[in-house]
Amino acid sequence: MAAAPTIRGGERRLAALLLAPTAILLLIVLVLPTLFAFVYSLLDLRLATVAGFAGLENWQKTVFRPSTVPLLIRTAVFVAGTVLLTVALALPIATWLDRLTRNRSLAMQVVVIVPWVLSTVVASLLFRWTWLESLGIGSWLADVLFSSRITPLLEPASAMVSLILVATWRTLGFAVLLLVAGLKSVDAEIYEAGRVDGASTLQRFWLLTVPLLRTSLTIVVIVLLVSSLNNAEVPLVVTGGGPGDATMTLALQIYQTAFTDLDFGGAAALASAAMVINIFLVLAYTRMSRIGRPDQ
Amino acid sequence: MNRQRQKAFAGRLAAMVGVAIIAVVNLLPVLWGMATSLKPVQEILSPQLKLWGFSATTQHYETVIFGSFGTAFMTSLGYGIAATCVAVILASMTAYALDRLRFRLRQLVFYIIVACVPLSMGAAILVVPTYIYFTALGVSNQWYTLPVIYLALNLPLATWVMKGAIEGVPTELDQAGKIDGLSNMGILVRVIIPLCRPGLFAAGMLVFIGAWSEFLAGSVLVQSPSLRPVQVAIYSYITAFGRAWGPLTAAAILAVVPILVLLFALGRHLVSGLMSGSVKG
Repeated sequence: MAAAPTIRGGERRLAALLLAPTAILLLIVLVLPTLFAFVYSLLDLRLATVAGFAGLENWQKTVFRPSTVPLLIRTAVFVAGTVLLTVALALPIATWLDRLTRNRSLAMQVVVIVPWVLSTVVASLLFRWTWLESLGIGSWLADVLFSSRITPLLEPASAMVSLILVATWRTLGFAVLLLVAGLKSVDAEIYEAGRVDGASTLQRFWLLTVPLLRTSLTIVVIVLLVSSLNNAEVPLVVTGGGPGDATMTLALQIYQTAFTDLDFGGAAALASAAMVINIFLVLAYTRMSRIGRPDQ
Repeated sequence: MNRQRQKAFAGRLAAMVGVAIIAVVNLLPVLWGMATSLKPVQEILSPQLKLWGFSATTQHYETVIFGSFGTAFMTSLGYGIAATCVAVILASMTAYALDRLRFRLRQLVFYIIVACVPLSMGAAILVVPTYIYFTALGVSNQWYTLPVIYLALNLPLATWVMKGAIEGVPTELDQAGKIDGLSNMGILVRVIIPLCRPGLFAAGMLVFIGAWSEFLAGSVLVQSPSLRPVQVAIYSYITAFGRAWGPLTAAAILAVVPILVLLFALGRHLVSGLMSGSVKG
């Protein structure tokens, strides 16, 4: 170790050089805004310029107020609905793909991921036009089957369900891929042993697949929590938050408080509150990804 | 024997039904959007369901291509290509340092980069403070504003994918390179990178798709029409035209085509890259 101090020093300098651009970029675009959200929430902002110190005024205006309770409940319904539905559908699909031959599985994975590579704006738009508008295929189907056209975006409950369906449609393929990756690392012999011991398909699924996938499942759940909690595009494009406030979620509220109401201080306070949840999820994510252990 | 064959047949049938359902659910909205984008206005508003057999028109495509969407399409192409090229280079450098070089705080640096993967998904939250301080510094609404943001938002994931790829290259090859007189950078460029091509494809695609798809930052951090990205141009058809589904679907389909071409050409790399990185919603 001590034999080659110059090489060590050179390596260290090279590492610093190689890491510097990435470090600077992440600092500017991710780390500083995270810290500044809290700072700005305590300042008096006139449009986007600082006019003085505001104390907790912004927080009282947008966070500590009665309407925050229904806002959080709606957000929780959207997030929980999306995460649960996505996982419930992704698990059986992933298990099925895992049993296909390699080439078929790969082809299916490409088809499965399609809605995820469409942008959120485009995916929301196309889904809305196809399934949720009165001139779309969904409405036509309802007309054929029950002889009545549907307009799900006009009722609060069905609008929220629509939102969950759109978000699930977009993220499902992604969840499937992560679970397929997780299944690959599970030893096939365990299933064989399960089969030999006479476990039914359903038993093998619940008693072997699910427990063995615990780490992958947790990561999928965390990522889905973060992405749906921070999803402002789906409500923006599909419902615009309506009817009334029925589908106004936290992310959309932050975006509109800042860029529609132009209340940047209030938006920063709401953003800080949301940031606390995000940071908690980020920590859970890094812990689950098991990168704490030294490689080599 | 017969029963077994019946069972195998049932299995295959179930698989085919599964494939059909997934394909229809995932592709139908794209096809329906495509049909709508080719219909004249009266046919769009007709309650009759027609996926084909309508009198096709290119009027909506003309509207959007020669309108603000056409400009935004080219702008986003520029943003995407710039962000992708720089991200792939920086991600390779960072991943190499994290995998092959020994230095203090290496674990911590990697930990921070991994933490940035989910953090970068919080655009709705990050965009508020970013807007305020970029405006204060006078760096919003510049030609470099969005490419820099897109680069940084996608860099953590690209780095993670590249780290996985570089890990897969045996260190014996580094030693061989060293014996041949290559420097550390020489080893990275001449030995490691050529062996990481699938990882590079995957990282590059993820960055390009991320940059191409971003909406929130793009909608507020630039105001000049010439700097507006493609997703914002699509969204602007919702508000500007009310229910003008013709131009809206034409714009959406045009925005989706490059991505779908990329997916069906290089999808395998994307899929394997996503799995190795294991990752982002």
